[in-house]
Amino acid sequence: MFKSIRVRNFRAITDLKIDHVGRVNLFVGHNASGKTTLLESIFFLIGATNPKLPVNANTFRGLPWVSKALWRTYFHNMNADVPIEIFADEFEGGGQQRLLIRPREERFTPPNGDASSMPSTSWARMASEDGPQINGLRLEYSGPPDPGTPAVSQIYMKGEEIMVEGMKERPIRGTFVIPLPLDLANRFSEIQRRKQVAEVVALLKEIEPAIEDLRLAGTQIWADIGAPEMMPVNLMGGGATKFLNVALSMLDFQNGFVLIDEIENGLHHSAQRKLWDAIFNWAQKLNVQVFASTHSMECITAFTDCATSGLFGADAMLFWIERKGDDFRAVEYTRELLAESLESEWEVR
Amino acid sequence: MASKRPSTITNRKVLAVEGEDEWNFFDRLLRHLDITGVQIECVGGKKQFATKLPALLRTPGFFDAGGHPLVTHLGIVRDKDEDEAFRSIANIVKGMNLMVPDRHGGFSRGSPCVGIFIMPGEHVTGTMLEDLCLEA
Repeated sequence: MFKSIRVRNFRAITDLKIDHVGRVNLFVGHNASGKTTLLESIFFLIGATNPKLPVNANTFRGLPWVSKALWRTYFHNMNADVPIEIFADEFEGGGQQRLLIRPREERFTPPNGDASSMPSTSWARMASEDGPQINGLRLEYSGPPDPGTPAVSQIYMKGEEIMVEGMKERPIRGTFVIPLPLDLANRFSEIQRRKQVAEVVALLKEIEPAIEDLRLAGTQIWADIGAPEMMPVNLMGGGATKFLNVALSMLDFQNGFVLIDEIENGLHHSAQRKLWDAIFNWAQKLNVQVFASTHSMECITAFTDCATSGLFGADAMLFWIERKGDDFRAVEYTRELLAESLESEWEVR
Repeated sequence: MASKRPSTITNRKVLAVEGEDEWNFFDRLLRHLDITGVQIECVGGKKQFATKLPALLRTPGFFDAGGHPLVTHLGIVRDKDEDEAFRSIANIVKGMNLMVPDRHGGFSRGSPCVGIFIMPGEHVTGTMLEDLCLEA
């Protein structure tokens, strides 16, 4: 579990440090304040030996799966001369983890050595530009148990193909909850194997009381809502899908991390407290560290109500990410401070 | 009438007071004296200073994104009630890493400058703002 995080030169963020990270953390702030970027940086760090993650993160943002023009967008001000640095300190003597991301550069030469003879190819376009071209990313991860020996991995384009080198078999320690994950069925299968489906059903009952059971058939998760036949869970509405998605993520990444961008999306305000209750409960029970973001005051209120109810004893933190130009700071709110601010109707976003 | 509880800090001078009565008094006093640019915030009771002042400092507009104060002066007004009132507020201010004034009625040289005002003041008999009003 992380206790502090620092991000430098990643997308819009120049330098942002967050101390005193809790078990359940909520990031708030204006648009373009760096909340999603912060979640992405945590995502990269928890899967630091998987160089595909930066590309995956771009797909979450709706960008093409890969494009030569996108490599620079990871770097602050598109300046790839300054590497991205992501640090985190772990509790319980876990030491510091550090991920350094540099551009992978390659000087392109067309197969026959003459760019002008192939004006219509991407090779020729690349070769006509000055200097080495960025054709990928190089990730250097260092951390326990051997902080002195960085694990280096790379992702890059070779022609029109995506190449990956140095990827370690280290299991990814968490997940980024996205609206329609492709691996929902796989995740459900694992939950089914662990006999935890009842817990998921119990949560979904909060939003759809008629639900009695969930079953996996092929790649589809089906819900029993008392009708003559089961129905695809996807058709039960955005709220149920969100609950299912978060539930499977939390249960599947015991002792890991769950990242949820704009957690309020698709949820009626009355459902938000129920979701936070479940998140706090599982976070403590399953030792999961949660990082979420929101713009919604209703969501903040639900988070605070849940955190201050003291039912779970989990430590909750809210961080208001403030940005002005290149200056960033994370204003730290404990659950007590947050409750005081909300009581006085002082803005916390 | 201005909102009693603006959601953000919009003035460079902030006056933190105990309760609604103090808010009303200072709002009218500042208007009467034609003093503008002071934002009055109510903490909800003398026992609330310890928890509300740190929350007030986190409110957008108190510091900028670089962590530099936008507020130049923070005044804190509470009733004397007991002899340790000044020390009580001074300890809270110190705990927030702000510079504490030497005495009641003066401002520190920190950034922001912090002033602590214990009512009814040093030369008035009594324990609260109301005593100052009666004396006047």
